[in-house]
Amino acid sequence: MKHFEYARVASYEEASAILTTTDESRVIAGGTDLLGALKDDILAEYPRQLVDIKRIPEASGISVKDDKLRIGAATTLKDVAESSAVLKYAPILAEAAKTVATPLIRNVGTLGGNICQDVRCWFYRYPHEVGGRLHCARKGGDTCYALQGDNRYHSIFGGMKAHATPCTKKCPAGTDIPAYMEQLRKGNIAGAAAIIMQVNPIPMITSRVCAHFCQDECNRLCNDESVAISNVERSVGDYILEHCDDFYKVPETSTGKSVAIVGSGPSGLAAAFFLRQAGNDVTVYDSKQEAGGMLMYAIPAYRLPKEIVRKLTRALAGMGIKFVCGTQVGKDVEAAKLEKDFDSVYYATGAWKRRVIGLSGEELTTFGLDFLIEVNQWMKGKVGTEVLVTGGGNVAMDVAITAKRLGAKKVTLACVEPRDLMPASKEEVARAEEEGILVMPSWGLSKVVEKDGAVKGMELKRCVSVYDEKGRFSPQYDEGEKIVVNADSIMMAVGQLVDLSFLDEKYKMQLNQRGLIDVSEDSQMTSRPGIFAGGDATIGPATVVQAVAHGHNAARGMNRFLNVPEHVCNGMKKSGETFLTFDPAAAVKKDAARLKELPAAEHNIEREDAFSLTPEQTLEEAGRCLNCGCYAVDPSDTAPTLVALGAIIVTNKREIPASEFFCEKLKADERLQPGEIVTRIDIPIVEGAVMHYDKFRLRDSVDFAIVSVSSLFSAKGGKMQGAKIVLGGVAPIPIHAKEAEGFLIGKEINEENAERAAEIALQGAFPMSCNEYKLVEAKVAIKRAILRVA
Amino acid sequence: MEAGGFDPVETYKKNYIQDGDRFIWRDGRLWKAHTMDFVKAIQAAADKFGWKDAWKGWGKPTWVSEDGKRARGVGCAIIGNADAGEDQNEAYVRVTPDINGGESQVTIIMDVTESGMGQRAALCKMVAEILNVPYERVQLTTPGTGEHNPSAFGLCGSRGTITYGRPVCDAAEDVRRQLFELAVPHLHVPASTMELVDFGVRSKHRPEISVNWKKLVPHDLSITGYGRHMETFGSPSMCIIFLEAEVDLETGKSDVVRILSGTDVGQIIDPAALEMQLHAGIGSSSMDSALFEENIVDPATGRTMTYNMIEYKWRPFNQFPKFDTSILESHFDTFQFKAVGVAEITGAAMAPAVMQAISNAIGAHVSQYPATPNVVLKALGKL
Repeated sequence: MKHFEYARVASYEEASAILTTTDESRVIAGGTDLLGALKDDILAEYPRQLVDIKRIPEASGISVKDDKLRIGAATTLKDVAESSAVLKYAPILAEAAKTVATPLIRNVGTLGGNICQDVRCWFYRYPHEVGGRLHCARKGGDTCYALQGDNRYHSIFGGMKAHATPCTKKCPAGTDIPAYMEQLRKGNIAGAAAIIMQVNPIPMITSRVCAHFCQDECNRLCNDESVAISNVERSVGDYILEHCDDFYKVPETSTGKSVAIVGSGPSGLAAAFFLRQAGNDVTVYDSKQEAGGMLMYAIPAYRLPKEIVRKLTRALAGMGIKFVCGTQVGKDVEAAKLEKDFDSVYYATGAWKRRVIGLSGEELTTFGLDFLIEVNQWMKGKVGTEVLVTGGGNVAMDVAITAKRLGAKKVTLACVEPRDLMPASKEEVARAEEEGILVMPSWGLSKVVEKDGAVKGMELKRCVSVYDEKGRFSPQYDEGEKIVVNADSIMMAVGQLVDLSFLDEKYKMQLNQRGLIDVSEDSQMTSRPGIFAGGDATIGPATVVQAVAHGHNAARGMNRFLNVPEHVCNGMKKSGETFLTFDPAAAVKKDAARLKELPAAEHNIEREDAFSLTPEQTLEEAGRCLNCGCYAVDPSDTAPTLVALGAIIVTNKREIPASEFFCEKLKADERLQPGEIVTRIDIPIVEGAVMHYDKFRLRDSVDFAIVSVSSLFSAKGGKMQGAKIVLGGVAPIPIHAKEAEGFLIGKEINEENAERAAEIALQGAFPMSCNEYKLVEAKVAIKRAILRVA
Repeated sequence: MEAGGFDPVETYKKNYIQDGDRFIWRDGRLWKAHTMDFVKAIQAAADKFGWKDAWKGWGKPTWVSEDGKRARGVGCAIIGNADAGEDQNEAYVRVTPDINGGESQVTIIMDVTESGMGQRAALCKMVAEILNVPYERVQLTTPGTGEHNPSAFGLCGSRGTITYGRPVCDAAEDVRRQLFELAVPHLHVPASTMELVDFGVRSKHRPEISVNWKKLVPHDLSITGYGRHMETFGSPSMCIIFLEAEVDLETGKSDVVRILSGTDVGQIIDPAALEMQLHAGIGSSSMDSALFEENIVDPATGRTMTYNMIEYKWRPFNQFPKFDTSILESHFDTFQFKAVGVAEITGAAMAPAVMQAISNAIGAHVSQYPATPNVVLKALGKL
């Protein structure tokens, strides 16, 4: 064990003071749970200070007062099991205490410790010295090892969210991906769509063009392939587009506030949607002829068909959002006027300006983005027979592929980054190479080779490193290694700049060091009250989903500014459902679903390359999502019993009903506030009930419950009058089988009714790959407990 | 046996190795069992267990509770091992007369470890008996002091009875022979008519004539005898397990309610230790390999999940079933003490007997170890 400080305190005040002021401090009483965890070094963080509360005078002892059995938290389990008062007033608790571990443990282990103990999950408890602790979800890691491992002792009611999953964390919009996958598995595509729409109103677009960071740290990658989240999202997006009227509704009430949005790219559209949804009057300005910004003008149609963008903007217009296109702010309408005419303004003007890098002959090259806009406007631009594209991002890929598809004989793509650091997604690079484009990583630009004012090619120099030790972009070149690539046209796709020239002198707004609009992180508000900004205009060229996230954030910020209620965003919390589930049978599929693609020979620049998944494929792929959370079970014998008894957990700060204390939060640490200590357990005295604790386990001692049933019954004339059934060992928290109780009341106590009650109690159960037997054990235990009353 | 519907006890009786049977052991040589015959021991154990009444045939329960929710079945399995004579060992036995008084100290110089089976004590008893001295006067050197002890295997398990027994007995007899020869000038009788008594040598026919070892052993010196065992595989051992298991047909949980362990070890050297050796057959990786004891490797991470005694399920003492023994005491021609070791094999037949008993109780074949509730429920078709 590592060194720690130890303080033996005389009062709860003293203990609480230490706990509040000392970081990494923990309470110790019996120590039977904590010391084992410390010896095995299962947690990456080790407590610096232990506060021993065992010697606090009032901490131990059992008494009866005000019709309540009062048990001090530091009372040993042996004393609880043998106390005449407990045996008389709450015999079920004595039974439960007596089943804990071994006599040695019961001699020192306390009741308070028993209810606050950590899980016994064998992955969670894996000793550090035997090959390294397992950093599971419960410890702040990403995965639950029980999902794909031996889960014979784990939950049969699903898991609980320990924190946001890596997919959600990696998604700039914060989409609760596991939640919508779960809805899909339940056959509720509309529910899935609603979860996505809480944070992203354009999934039909993000699924097609986003770099899907969410897939980068999917827990499946440990064993096989990431869930094809973007492909599933695309199906949901298509569904949303097909059912526009359900998802882009005219708001029922009006707030009477008006907002202007400048720029109709992804950020502007997202903000418009959320602002309109809240009941505001929304007007969107755009300098181009059609709404959509980069979505309409920069991203090639083979990746994002323009009809999708048009359908979306039509749907948004259907909500009552007004689009004013062909109007440039700063030219056709002054920024100051917008501020005057509207209650709030959002600038999402993007990054459209050419970046000049100061290359010799640069004026002879074409700005890649201009080329894409040209193509998308007229479909037929002029491209040379040999084309060099410079840049390693997705825009560069789009330019290269488009050039190739338009008939360029040879297309070469050069970028400073080595292959593994290229900003473009792997799929896009692969697509480019598939189309015959020569990709040359680790080459920087030296100069344009020209003859008589005409481009002949580009001299490249070897790039040896791209980032400095602080991770900043700072390419270093080997001037000795150079090469000339012949080309008639050179497309520069080395990034775009933000053009803020529309903001005139009089209309001051604070800019940051990079010359971008400075905004508050939590609301997107600029230095001017009521004026908001987001998207590329505030951070430089980024992704579509990042723009959407800004639009969402801005809408929330603007609604707050306008005193308009924010929309509910509770993808994480599903009403009435506590547990996470997945599909063990579908989850074994190793290969991710792939989109069906057009044959390479049929590729062109107008038609989308890939088809969406079929509904069956979508469902199957959603089945591969493991719904990562914590699937361990509450190991306590006394916790479910205390829930059944309707006990009150008394702390030094408050009194908490046992049902609330045990059944709402995943971990004991989260159930208590800083400095809060369980001091006593008060149990209302229940008269006339038959109460028992039944524990199913492999060995008669040592073992924790595989299944436990705490039951209180009262019967008269062979009929059940009162029932309380709480299951332990089957879920991350005790399960109160309320529906089964309701069913039993007034029923005759017989085999048939007992079986039916057991069925009802296990209705929501969801066994994993190795623990279906627990379902049987739980049913049998409930049935037997009921029949015992007869 | 199951396919033929044979009673396992009858099958074992007809097929277990007997005196004169030839077999090729794992050393590749042909061996012949000699003087060993376990038929009587098998039958005695079966009778004591009540096998004839309990055995209802393959897949048939012995007993079913009134409500039909619990059933019992019996199982019987046997184990034998010709390794009982494996391992070459050697020993010295040294007699050192006391400087004062007429007693002597006997020291066995041998490399013998002890793991609770009572091997070291048994060897001291053997030497005490041959030299006819009190047990307390015999000591055995500390094992592991390599350069001081003669060559030996260390911990021989059940083989030690023969493979250590023979060297120490030979060495003790060597000492006795030397003492008799030294006593001839004193007693004037042939060595063959002498016996050892009270740290002296005396004539069997004229007990009043005797001489103390102190007089026989040269002043300040001692007498040392030497003995050794050369590997032999001709004396197999046997342990037969009978047991009854009860299965909860609703939960699939099984447990053993009674056990009888039967054997014939030849001459019994330490009755209490022998009984404990049979009890120890419940042990680790024995009976409970069929019920819940298991080394679990997680298929996803490749890690061993049974890293502590909560996850690795050893039976606690409060869960021990009724245990009976049936021990016959033939005189096998193995070495001076006519015995064969047994401890190591007492657990080996437990797990298959449990599987047989569970299968008979539930009327369905269970072959996946251990037969946890999960496995039994599957066999019952409830999962």
